[in-house]
Amino acid sequence: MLSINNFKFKFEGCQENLLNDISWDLNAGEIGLLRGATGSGKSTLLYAVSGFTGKYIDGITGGSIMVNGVEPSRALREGIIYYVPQEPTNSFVGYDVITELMWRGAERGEAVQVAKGLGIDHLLNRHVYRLSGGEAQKVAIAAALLGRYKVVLFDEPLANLDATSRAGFVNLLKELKDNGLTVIVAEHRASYLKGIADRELVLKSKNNAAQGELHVPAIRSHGAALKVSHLNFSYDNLRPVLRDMNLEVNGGEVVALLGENGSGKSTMLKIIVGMIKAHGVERNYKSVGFSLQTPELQFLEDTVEKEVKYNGKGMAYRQIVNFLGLERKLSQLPHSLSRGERVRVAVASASSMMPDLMVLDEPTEGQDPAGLRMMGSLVRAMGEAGSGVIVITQEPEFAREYSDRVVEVGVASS
Amino acid sequence: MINIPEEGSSLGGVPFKLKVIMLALTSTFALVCWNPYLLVAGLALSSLPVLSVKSKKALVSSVKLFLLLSISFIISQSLFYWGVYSGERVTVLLYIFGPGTNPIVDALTMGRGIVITVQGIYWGIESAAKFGITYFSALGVLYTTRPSHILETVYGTRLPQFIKLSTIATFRVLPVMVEDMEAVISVARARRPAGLRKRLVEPFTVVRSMVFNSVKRAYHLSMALEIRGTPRIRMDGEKGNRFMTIIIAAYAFIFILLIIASVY
Repeated sequence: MLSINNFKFKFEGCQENLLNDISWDLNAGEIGLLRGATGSGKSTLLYAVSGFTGKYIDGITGGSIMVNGVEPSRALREGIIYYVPQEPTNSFVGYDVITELMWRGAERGEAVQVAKGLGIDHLLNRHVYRLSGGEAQKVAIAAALLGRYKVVLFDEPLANLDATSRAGFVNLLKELKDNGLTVIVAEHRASYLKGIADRELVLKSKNNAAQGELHVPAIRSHGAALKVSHLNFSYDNLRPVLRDMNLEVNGGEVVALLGENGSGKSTMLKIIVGMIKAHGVERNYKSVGFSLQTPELQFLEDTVEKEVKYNGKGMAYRQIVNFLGLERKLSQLPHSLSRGERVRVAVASASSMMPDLMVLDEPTEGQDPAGLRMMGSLVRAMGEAGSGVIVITQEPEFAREYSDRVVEVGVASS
Repeated sequence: MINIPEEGSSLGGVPFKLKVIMLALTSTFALVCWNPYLLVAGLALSSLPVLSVKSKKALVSSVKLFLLLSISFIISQSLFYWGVYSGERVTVLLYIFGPGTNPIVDALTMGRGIVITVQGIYWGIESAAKFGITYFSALGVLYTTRPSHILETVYGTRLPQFIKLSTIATFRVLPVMVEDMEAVISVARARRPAGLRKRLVEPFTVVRSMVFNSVKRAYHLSMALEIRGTPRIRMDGEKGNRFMTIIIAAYAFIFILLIIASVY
C-alpha cells in the first residue's frame, strides 16, 4: 500500500538533507510507528507521503514514494490519503461533527452508526472547534473510517491527550487496522503503541538540544509568590470549569498540575497570569513569565530572538537559548517553526526574563525524550534560582521526577 | 465565541431556502408599505420567531439593540425632519431654535431653525418599524438556522466553486478567529512589555501577530480542503452523495487567505 524507497529531502537553502535514504514498506491493514527526535523530519515525511512537499513545503526531494501504486500528489487527488495534524481540528472542514463525518458522502445513518461504535454519538451536533483533544482524535478516526480513505497519517496524536484518552485512542486505532486501512503514527511516546504497531521506522537526527546542566542567575525569593483560595470559575455561568480550587506556590518551588483533559488547568493558567479575571487569586510576584499550550497565540514578534527578549532584560537569554537548542533559529519567524520548537521558544521567552513566577502549559508537548529531560532540567534550574514554577503537564513521570509537589486537578462537576 | 441559539426555536425545522424567501418577502413588504397599522402588524409578526428562541440573553440583547437604534432614529427624525428643510408644509409641535433666534443655527439650517414636527415623528416611527421588520426577520433566520444548514444549501445549488470555498472558509474559521483574536489581545495585555517604545507599538504587534495567525489558518484550511475535498451535492443523507477532490492553486490559497484576513 505504501512504499518509500531511498527517499531524501532537503529544505531549500539548507546544506544537508533532513531525510536521507529513507526506505519503508507498509501493507494494507498495517500500523507503522514513526519515531525520531524533535526536528528529525517526522512531520516532513508525513507531508511528503501526503503529497504536500513542493507545494506547502519547499525543498528538494530524491528517491520515491508510492501510495497505492501512484505518486502521493496523485493519491491526494484520488482522495485516498488522510493526514491528521498535531491539532486534529486543523484537518476538519465542516462546522459541526455530523457535517464533518458526512463530508465525503457518507449517509447520515452510516455516520451515526460509526459515531455510536466509537462512542462519540453525543458529539454529533457539537461544533468541531469545541472538541477536546481526545474527542477531536476520535472524530478524526470516525472521519477516516467514513471517508473511504486507504492511508491515514497521524502526527503526534497522543501529545494533547491524558492517560485515559491515550489508551482509548490506541484501542480505536485497531478499528482502522481491522477495516484494512494503512496507518502511520508519528509519535514520541512509543510505549503506548508498541503492542499494535506492525512496523517501526526510527529517523536519525542531528539533535541540537544541549546537554548538561543549566546555570541561571539567582532571583531573590519573595516567599509565597502565588496564593489561590477557593477559586471558582465558569465561562458561561452554567458549567463550572474550576470549583473551590486552592493552590499556593512559594518562590523556589516547582509545582506540577496534573489532570484529565477538560479539568480546567489551562483556564487556571490564564487566571493566574491575568488573561482572565477572577476572584480568589493573591499575586505576590513582581514579574510573571508564561507559555501557553498554543504557543503561536502568544508570539508577538517576527523573529525568535525578539520574541525571547520581548519582556525586557532577558537576564538569562544566552544561557537559555543555547540550552534549548534555539541558537540556530534566532532569525526565524516563530510561527514557522515545528510544534516542539514553538513550545521551546515560548518556554525560553517565559524563563529568560527570570520571573518571580513562571507558569508553563504543557511544555513537554512535541518533545522527544531528550527534549523532556531538557525541559525538566530547565524547570529545576528555574526553581533552584528562586522562581516559583507551575508546570501543567499530561506526563505523570515528568511531573514526579522534576517537581517538588504534584497537584491533581479534577474535573469540576455541575 | 459566537453563539447561535438555534435550538428549540419554532422555525428550527424550516428549510433554509424557505427562510431566505420569507426574509426577501418581509424586506420587500417593509420597503413598499407606508400604512402605519400594517407596519406595526408586520413588526409584531416578524418578531415572533425571535421571541420563540429559548436564549433569553440573545432575545434581550437583540431587543435592546433595536430599541436603542429605533429610539435614536425617531428622536433624530423628530428634530431634523428633512421635510422642514426642503420646504414641505409641516405641523410644528415645538420650536427648539426658532428662525432668527440663533445665528449659528440659522447659518447651518438656512434660517429654518430646529423644530419638532408631527410629520417627523411619523416618519421616524414608520422608518423604525420598517427597519424593525427587516432586523427581526433577519434575526429570526439567523437564530433558527444552524450554519451547517447554510453550508448544505450552498452545496446543493450550482454556485461557483469560489463561493463554496468562501462559505467554508468563513464558517470554518470565523469562530476560531474570534477566539484567537481575544487570546492574542489578552496575551499582549498580560505580557506587559517593558519600555515605552514597545508599549506604543503594542497594537501593531498584535495586528502583525494576527496576520501571521491568519496565514497559518489559511495554510491549514487549504491542506484540509485538499485532503477532505468539497461535497458535490447535498449533505442531507440522500443516496448517491459524492465528494469532489480539489487541489488548491496559489490563487485559491491567496483567495482563502484574503477571506480569513477579512474575517479578522
